[in-house]
Amino acid sequence: MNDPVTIALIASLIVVALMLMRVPIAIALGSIAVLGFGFMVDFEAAIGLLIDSPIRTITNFNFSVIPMFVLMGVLVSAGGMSRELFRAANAWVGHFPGGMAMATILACGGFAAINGSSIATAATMTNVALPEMRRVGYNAGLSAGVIASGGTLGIMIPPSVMFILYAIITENDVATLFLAGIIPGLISIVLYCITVQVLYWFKKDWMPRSSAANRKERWESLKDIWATVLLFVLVMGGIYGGFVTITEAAGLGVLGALGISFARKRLTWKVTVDALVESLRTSAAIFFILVAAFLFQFFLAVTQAPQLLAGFLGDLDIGPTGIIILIMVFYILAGMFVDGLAVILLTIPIFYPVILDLGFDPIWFGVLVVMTVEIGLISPPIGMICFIMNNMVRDIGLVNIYKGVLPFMAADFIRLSLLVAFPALALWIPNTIGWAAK
Amino acid sequence: MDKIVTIVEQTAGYCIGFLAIITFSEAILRYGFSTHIPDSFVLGQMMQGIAICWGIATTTYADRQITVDILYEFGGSVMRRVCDIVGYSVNLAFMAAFGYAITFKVFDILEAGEISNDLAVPLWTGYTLASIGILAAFLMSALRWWQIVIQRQHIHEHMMDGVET
Repeated sequence: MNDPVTIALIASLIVVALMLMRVPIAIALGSIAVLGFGFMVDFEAAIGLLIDSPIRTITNFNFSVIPMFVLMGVLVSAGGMSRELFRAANAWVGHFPGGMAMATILACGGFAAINGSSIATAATMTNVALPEMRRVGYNAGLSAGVIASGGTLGIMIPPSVMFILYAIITENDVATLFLAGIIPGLISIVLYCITVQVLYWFKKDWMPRSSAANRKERWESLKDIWATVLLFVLVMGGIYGGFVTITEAAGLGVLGALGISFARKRLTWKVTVDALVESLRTSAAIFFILVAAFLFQFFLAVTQAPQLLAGFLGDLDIGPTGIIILIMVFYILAGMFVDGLAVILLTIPIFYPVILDLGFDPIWFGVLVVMTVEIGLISPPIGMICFIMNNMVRDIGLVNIYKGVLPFMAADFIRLSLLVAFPALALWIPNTIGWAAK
Repeated sequence: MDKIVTIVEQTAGYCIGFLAIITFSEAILRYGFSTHIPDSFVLGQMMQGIAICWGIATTTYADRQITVDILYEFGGSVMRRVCDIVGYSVNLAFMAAFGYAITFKVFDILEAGEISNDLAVPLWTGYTLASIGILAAFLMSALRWWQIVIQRQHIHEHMMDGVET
């Protein structure tokens, strides 16, 4: 019973049991971490840990990038930029077979470039694109599936809150991770559009074709997306031009989103205050889990379970790629039942040393992990995005939404396989511009 | 009570807005004018700490912490009751320990007499404001525990479906 690995295993099982009993994830992790640490070391030290670690996490200025990027995302959602992106994308591709579905995916990709949250992307596009798709006669389940899947782009295309969290807990460079997410994000857009075409081939009546916009309408639609482009250039240009740090870029993004939206009379004081409150709620929930995850890391460190698990996985006779596939399968299964954020924070401290031991690139692994979280966001039986869409639009039904996302999940698995087989897809941009070496 | 929580949430939300303004202004001043806001780093830390701690208090009150609802959603009334008892009791116990720990930390900083670099502002002020948030979270979890475990009230209409990730 005093075997550290057994203790770590029992503690992890208790955490899972508590989570299933609807104990908040942060509380389940934090309480077992403190008790486990007390059991392994002594309870005075455990209280000492609780005295020092949480407040250090909560007041760590490096983590201020989280609330600020969250706030930026909420502000651009409130500022109506998603509607302009959808209108522009629809003007250019809406007349093609499955055009409005592809326009929705493109708009999600564009919106993801100024917003780091998948749920915000999906929720915003549900309000913008879903009524239009249903107005022209698109199948409801398919429409929901397109938006839910497109929404997952929010955490792959930079800026991304998930990349920031991965960077924080693994001490990797956020800017490098942002760059590494670009090609996988673009591949995702292409694969989703191919999926739409395949679906159109089999179910033409699900996607009635729209009439084409004329040339004037197309060019005029582009005029409205200047705000999105400007904000993206401000934030990403600021980071990669070497003008600002990631934290400063987040502050710039908030003030930029606020300034642009106020200048265009898109924000009232009330909407701004609501945005601040919304970002507070999200940030507090993320930070609380972050606090608990760091406590749990301390506990795991004293059990030395990560090192032993790393040794165990390293000894498996399935080769490094087999181990990666095993870890990905675990993430996908875990993501089906538990919030992706918690899965990352709970398991990265365990798997990360294994990845380093096996000689894999930590940036590439970060992209893979975020990708599995994306899949978890739409996969049954939990699929957070599907649940939220179901709450927003009651008449489609959860089962139809799940049916709608299934073809796009297949595209996600193809993309994940491509990334496992060709790490260069993630690493090419950071390596080419020399950012990874910084 | 809801009105108080709304005011607290809005005030903590302003802290996040203020954090963004400090960060932005500091960057502009440093790059544009080679100067800086005195104690901007400490001020930013404190704003963040206060916002997050108060945010934890209000999420505790409103039952908005991230949870795994699968058993709760699909379980019967007995399962829900067990989940409520376990969930809110563990919540209360952890918040009690967290509240004690953060209060201890404030006294620690007070005794050490830590001050900021530029303006010599005593750091215990910011930590105290943050710690009040965690103590409020403890009180909120005690209130919820009393309402749900002892009085068997149903308050789950406040539950949030998730958090943005």
